[in-house]
Amino acid sequence: MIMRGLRTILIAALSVALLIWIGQGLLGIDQRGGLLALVPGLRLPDDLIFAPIMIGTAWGILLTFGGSSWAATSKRVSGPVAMATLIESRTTGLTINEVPQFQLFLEVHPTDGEAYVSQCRKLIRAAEQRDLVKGAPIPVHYDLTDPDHVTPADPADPEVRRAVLQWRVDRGLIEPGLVHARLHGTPERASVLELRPTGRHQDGQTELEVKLLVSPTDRPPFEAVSRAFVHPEGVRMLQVGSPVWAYWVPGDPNRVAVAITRDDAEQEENA
Amino acid sequence: MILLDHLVWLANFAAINGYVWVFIAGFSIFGVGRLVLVRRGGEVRLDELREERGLTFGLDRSRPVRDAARLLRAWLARVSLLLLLAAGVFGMLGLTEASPTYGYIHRHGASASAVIEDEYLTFTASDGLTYTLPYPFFTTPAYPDRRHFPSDGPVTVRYLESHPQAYVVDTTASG
Repeated sequence: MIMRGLRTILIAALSVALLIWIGQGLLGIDQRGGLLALVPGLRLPDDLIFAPIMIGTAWGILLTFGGSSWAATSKRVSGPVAMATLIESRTTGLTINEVPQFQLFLEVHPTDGEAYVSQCRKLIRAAEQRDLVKGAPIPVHYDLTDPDHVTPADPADPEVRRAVLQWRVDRGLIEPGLVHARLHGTPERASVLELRPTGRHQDGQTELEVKLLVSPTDRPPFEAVSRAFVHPEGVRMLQVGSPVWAYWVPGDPNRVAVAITRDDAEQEENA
Repeated sequence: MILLDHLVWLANFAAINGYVWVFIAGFSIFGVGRLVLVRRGGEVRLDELREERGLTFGLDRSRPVRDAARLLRAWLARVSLLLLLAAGVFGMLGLTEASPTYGYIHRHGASASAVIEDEYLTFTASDGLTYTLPYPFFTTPAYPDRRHFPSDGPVTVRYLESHPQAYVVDTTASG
């Protein structure tokens, strides 16, 4: 930010010097002494006759290499986390290590205000590009004082996970009856015994009915049936025999919420 | 012809400072060109989407000012690019002793006697003012014998009466 301001000031100063030199060359009556003749009583040594070349070259180089580049225009915003839904995306033409950069237009849903439209830039690998469908949820950092920019949030950050989970609850992606178990239950190891799609789809996710064998640490294993909306990526993690996590309030085996990873573990894929 | 006088005056400034303008144009054309070509569509699309969805937060925030600034910036970049290209071309012509402006000034200019001293040339124009102008070594404005560089001493110059800063040393009269 400071560098940017400094550069702007430098470009402006050099532009002014150039304009004075041009004005003097075009309109000056006594041009002896060059640029510094503007300062009364100062005489320019002959070697400084090349000063306009130096100034002009520096000006040109600053404009060419110092101007705002594609990468620099993606401004970082650090603020609270909110869920945003994708409106549309387009490539910016920039790639880094063959990963293309996208400009994403998002509808941001802050918890403390009404929804608004913003945008961000993000590098997105080929495998993740199919997720760029209209309405896809993307957690972002937002700042209401700068509605023109948001920054994609890191999904591994616990705060971001909480926001994603809350969004799933609000959107009805977690069965109302299981919300309490999912939010306040304890996670226990479980395995998938049976799996059946229910045929319901929402926000690009499919609902599965899962029969689980839950193995609490201090109780004998028991079977439970649960339902979950799963992202297409997550379906392969939720196959018969897959180890998963079951959230339950001990003593209520009829309400078990299934999750592919624990909330406090790395890389949560909510299910 | 007055319009042409003004244009020659401007072009001749680039020609007589050929070294400077070739450097400035060479180093800045890519930067200015990028400012012209860069897509600023993102900000416009953002406003369009806000209007489409009726979510106006962030939309009317100093929008006329921002639009005007954007327009001004775009046109400034375009005009600068054009001027820099022209200055680069005339600078190159000046350096290669092929500037067409010298011939024009020689044909249409008024005559005056001048004195060259210390890389500066002094003459009194018809407006009564005494002009002291640079007499550059590398892009010496001499016509019709472009290779004739009179050094210190009296010479005859021809200059545009509307802009005496545009002058050439008249080699037919200066000997």
